[in-house]
Amino acid sequence: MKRVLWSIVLAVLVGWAIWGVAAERTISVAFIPQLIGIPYFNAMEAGGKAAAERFGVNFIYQGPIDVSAPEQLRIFDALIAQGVDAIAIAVLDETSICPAMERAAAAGLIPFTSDSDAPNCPARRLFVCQALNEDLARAIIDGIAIRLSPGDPYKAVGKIAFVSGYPTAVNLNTWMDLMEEYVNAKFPGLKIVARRYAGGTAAEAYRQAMDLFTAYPDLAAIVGVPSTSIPGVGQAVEDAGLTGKIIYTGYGSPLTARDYIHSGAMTFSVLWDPWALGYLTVWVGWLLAQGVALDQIPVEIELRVPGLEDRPEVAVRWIPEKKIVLLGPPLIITKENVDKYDF
Amino acid sequence: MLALRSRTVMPSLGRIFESRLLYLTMFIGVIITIFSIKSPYFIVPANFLYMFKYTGIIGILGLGETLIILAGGGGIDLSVGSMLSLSGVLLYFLSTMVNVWLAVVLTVPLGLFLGAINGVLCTFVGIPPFLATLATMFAYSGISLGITRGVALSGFPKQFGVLGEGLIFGVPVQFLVLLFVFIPAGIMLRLTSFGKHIIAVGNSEHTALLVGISPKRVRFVLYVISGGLAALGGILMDSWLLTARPDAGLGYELRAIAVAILGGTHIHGGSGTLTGTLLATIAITMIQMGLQLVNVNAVWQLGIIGLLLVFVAVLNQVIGGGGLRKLIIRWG
Repeated sequence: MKRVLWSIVLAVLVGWAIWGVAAERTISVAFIPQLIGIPYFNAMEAGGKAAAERFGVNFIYQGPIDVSAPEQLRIFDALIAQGVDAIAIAVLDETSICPAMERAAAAGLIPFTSDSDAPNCPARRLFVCQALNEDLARAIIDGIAIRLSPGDPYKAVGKIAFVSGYPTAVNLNTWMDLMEEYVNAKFPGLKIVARRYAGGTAAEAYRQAMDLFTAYPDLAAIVGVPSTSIPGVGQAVEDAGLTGKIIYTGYGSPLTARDYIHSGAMTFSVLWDPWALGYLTVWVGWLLAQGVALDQIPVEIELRVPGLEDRPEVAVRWIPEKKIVLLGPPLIITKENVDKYDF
Repeated sequence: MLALRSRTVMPSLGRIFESRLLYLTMFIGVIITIFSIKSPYFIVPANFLYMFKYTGIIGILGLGETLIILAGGGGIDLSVGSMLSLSGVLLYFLSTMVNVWLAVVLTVPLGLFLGAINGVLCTFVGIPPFLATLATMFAYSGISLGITRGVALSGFPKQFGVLGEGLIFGVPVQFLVLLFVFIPAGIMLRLTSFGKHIIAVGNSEHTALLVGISPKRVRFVLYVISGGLAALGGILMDSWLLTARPDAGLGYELRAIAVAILGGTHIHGGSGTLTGTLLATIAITMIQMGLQLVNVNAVWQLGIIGLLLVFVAVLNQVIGGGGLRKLIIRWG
């Protein structure tokens, strides 16, 4: 029995030594991404860390290793138990996270959303939004129009096709609907001719793009809607010999788009800066945790975020109607700036 | 007493079980001590009890898995996670047609039916369980993705959340449901003749046949039970998330197997206890929650649990080979 006791004592000591002794009290802000280990959320983490350092915040970045709503909940519950001051979450599933947000609010924590929202949850204080869907839709169409008709973009003429991901992806469908609305409203010469769905694979995106080139030999522009479609469509543009002859764009992260942008197959890409989004998230959490009732401001205002002044395309605004802190207009990625980002 | 024991050449099977339970209890003690020291939030009663919420689903699936593995013959159920997802999705569709509580009651037989398909394939058709349940794992998960088109379905009435989220005197309802299935199952295994048949079949199929027990029938019933338990897991998951996700049970089959093995169930069957599985479920949940409370990255959490399983596997090997026998005799 003695040896058992000693091994317990040893285990306890080792445990103590490994983890060290715990911290003094500073403001802690947590962020739960949709999953960890992908470049996009790594960039948000890096931005969050930078803000944490600048403002003296204890930043906790914890997320599931696969896209899992129950895991997000478990992590959320653990953060409530730790009594962090503010929790931001990139929501996977609004209905399941909403009761947890209410628990957090009841425990005196500040729950808010970032990157992906839970708009119908009353406990969510505000949403740190990367870019408005309307702006994202316009950025693509404007970019196509100005290249087709540099003098007067509204006179642009041509056919446009979409290669989306899963047909059930709400955000992708929203973007496509908004692009179509915008085209119908402002560009009489442009026409959306096809919406194809490639699921999540590059191979299927390739097949769908090749198919489109055959079906519409006079296609003016092709849009790879999700990041997962970008490499497949890019390869198809190259293989079909359409590099430079067709406008290829989409919502691709710089890392996925880089090769095709350099080869000229991809004309431009539209996204936002996740580093700045992570930075902004921690800044907002830090403000809220100090009792600055950002979410009570009744009018739309510009917010000056220390440390984000030199980031391009960042113009932080508070939009009271939607309870949104908006990062800014979309980021346009071209040959000139594609190498500056690593997400 | 000591002299008497050292004369024993082999420790009885019962002794190994008991020492396993002793180890697990001590292990939980170590976990509690370490995390209480490291995190001021771990031992806070509200948090500590709340943690038990996370034992519910894993424990229930682990129970079915333990029974199947116990009965030997290469028995394993890889489809529990998919059955959980599919039952959860079916529950959602039922709840749009009838009262949600009636839908809950109807979901269990659906789960039993899914389990029965496994049972038929593994016993009467004679496909090795690993293959048969691997196939149904993909099939069931495919069906739930198909009928939902991959979308999470929400819109359960709020009062349905009581099973997954509710507390009774601070104790999570999920944990009470877990005990509610574990206790009768434990009694069944220890005291009924069916329980003895399970162990007998797991120890030696041949002997069981000779005394007139049908291994096929015993194993078939266990696959059916596992399906019913997975459906119960699906009900809890839906209630907890208030959403039916077609991928809700993803990865749960491996966790269920992990708690069964960690709890001391021999992978080839014939030996193991439900108490072991219950303690292992509590231990794994505490480790994960504790690591989360001290903000250890989720990747490392899995890594640490993986290491633990390796350790247990080695331990099983050593106990099986008699290497630790003397130690057990001396310590016991």
